[in-house]
Amino acid sequence: MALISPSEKDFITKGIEADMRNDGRSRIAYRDFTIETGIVSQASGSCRLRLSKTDVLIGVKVEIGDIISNTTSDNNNEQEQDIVNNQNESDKGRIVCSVECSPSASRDFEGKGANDINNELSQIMNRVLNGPQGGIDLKSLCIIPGAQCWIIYVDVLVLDYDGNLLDTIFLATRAALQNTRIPKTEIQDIGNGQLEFDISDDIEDAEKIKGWEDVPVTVSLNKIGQKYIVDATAMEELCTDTKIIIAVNRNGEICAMQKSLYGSLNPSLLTEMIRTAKDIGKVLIKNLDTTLEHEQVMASRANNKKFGFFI
Amino acid sequence: MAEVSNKDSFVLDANTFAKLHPKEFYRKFLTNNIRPDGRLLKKFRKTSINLNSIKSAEGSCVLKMGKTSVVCGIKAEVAEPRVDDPRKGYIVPNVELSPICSSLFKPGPPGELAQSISERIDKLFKQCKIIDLDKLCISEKNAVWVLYVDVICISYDGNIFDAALFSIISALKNLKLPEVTFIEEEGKVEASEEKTISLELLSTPLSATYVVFDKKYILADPNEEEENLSSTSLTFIYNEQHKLCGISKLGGIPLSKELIQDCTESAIERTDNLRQLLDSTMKNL
Amino acid sequence: MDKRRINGPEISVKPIEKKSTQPKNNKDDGIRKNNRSVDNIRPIFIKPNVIKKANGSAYYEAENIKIICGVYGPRSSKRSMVSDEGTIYCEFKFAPFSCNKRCGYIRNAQEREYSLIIQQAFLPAIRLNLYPKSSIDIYVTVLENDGTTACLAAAITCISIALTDAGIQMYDLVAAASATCIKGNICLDPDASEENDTNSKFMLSYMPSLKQVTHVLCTGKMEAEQSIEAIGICIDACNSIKTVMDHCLINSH
Repeated sequence: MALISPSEKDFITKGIEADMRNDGRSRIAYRDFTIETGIVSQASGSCRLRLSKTDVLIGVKVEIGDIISNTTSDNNNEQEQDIVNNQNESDKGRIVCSVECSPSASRDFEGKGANDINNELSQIMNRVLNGPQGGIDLKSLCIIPGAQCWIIYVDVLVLDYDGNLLDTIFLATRAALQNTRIPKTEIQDIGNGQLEFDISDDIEDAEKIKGWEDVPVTVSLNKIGQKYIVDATAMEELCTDTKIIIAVNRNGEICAMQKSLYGSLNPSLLTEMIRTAKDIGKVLIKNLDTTLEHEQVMASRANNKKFGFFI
Repeated sequence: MAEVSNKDSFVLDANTFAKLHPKEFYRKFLTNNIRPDGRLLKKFRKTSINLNSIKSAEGSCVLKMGKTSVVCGIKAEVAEPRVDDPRKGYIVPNVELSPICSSLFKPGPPGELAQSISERIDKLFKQCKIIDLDKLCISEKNAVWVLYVDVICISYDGNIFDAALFSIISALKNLKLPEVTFIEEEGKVEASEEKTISLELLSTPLSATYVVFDKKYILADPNEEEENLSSTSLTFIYNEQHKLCGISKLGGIPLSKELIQDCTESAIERTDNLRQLLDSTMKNL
Repeated sequence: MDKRRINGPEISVKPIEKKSTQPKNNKDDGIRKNNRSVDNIRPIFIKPNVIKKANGSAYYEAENIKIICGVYGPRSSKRSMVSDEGTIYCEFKFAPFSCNKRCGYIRNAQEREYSLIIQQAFLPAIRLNLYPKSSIDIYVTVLENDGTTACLAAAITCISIALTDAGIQMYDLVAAASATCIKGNICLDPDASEENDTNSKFMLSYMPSLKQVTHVLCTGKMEAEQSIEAIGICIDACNSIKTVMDHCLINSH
């Protein structure tokens, strides 16, 4: 467990009260990020995002799978076992997220603690992305109703850590999903009410995922002392006693909200945090989209010349 | 009660004495034909049941036997029957002793006690004809009912086997299945919303458990303390025709024939009382 | 194949419900089913001290939600060998027969997540610095489930009573309320059918005397202003739930 000395904690706390953080930002200022999409050739979509030192690589693969019907089995594949009372959705695909924090990124990501962090992040992602609040049109992922559907596997690899992991992951996921292409399928009726489908091999024919524009991003707000900050660095995260994660989509709608850590909040502070998160979220999405467009333009000009991977 | 040893009066209060010398403590009561909780040696604890309180289950029973409480719930699902027996349904009993009922049980997979009780109940179902499994058939070779009978122990104070078995039989008697039709073309089973069909039990075997303390005292319906102090335990299972369906004596000290026969009458009386309790509760539903 | 339990057939499914041809007697004039008002919470019954062996326990019932909770502690455990503050360990489990669709015995991801949420809801409330090297173990079993978010809120309320029954020192009781958004209105305490119809679920746990929110959980799309409204409504609900909790604790001794 990373430690912080009480004096440093005091220094950071007092600085935040005066609206001056260690790197000179104000409480609600975000760090700049750099982004690259389409870097993993074997994945259907990918993205690498660096938010200052926090570095995240996302690979999206689309595969064909069975639509889960309402079976009971004690040997359930835990990742795919969703909410207990969920109605049988026979015409929807699904998204399965898994987060892996590389042990080289931080000392916290070693051993048993890593399992808990990975599980928690994967659960948050699964909860936000599966469902109408996740933006993606799950019905469009259905190939044959009641039988086969597209499953989108989002695999996150955390390469380096300097605070604010969840926001980075969601920004990168949104970019990766924009980058993902699903092959086209043709459905044929072979009689007897049975349907078969063919996957088109043509890369040009692949389509974008419907609804990627509505994928939300998260804004993590950390309460330190009596004030809260956005986009905390690793040191600032150690001073936090309460953290609220709010997922916002481009229309300013709240898609998910969750508190973590051991502190408690005043309801009025919570209300203020929600309003701030909404504004920041919308700005973040706008910035991300402009950056992605810019990247597309640069890519088409430079004829796809790639330079290096870990630069 | 004070224990006096040596010339200096060394006085212990009852609770301390019970903690330091539990067997002595019990002996002092048993010589007077009574137990520390006030019961006579062959007296069973007050039993009460509450039926069909859990609406999400097809049949349920909440049972209290003294301070032991268990909840039994039955969920019915549909499955393909076995190839060699295309008409028989399934009954899957399981007893769960989780950390909530006592600090003896650790979280995780079931321990020895839970596994052994589940196994005994499963064997009882397989060997004694309690339910006619053919009645669970929906469509031969295609679909049969599977009854998942789950018993969860909420408070553990000894004699779990009796409690589990009685709650299972009560829940089964009050099971209400919906009417179903098997749709050939889709290979699926459709159920009506109302649950109206009940299951006839071919027999209702119920059990009575005794423990033997100090090779001569037989205590009926032991609580947890008594179970820990006794040298062996004895369970009789009788059905409504007073026929013996099962008897188990798991290890422990050897017992004489007279000791065992001593219990049989009491066991028959106890199981009859339990059946009466069940019938009267069902009538009042 | 779980070798430690009696196993049934490998796959079994719930039969499909036949859609009734006649529409049921729909009393859907109001916004919610069953003529419930928007801020109606189902009547709560809580009874402490129901498990003999536990240090503290409570049974919670509200119409079709039945939850039992046992608290063991403070006790030593391998997990808490070296710590100058106590730790909370929570296990939340649905009984196999509690939900519409049968749950397995092994805790699935959602139950593990709820266990974590409950632990976080109680971290600000319990005085853990008084219990070094000890662990407070909380076990919750849901016997009947009628709305998963409502069950979670009910579990938190039930655990507060159980912790009080165990004599564990806390800064304040924690009450919790759940809500959902139906047709643009925030409705409290949704049951299973309402939860299946809508997508937004909101749960808030609150310490009424200290006026602090200890946990907030929201899934599904909501306008920012709606979620702020939901917070206010849930806080009012928590205040009324607190009176029920006080009543129960006073009458039980």
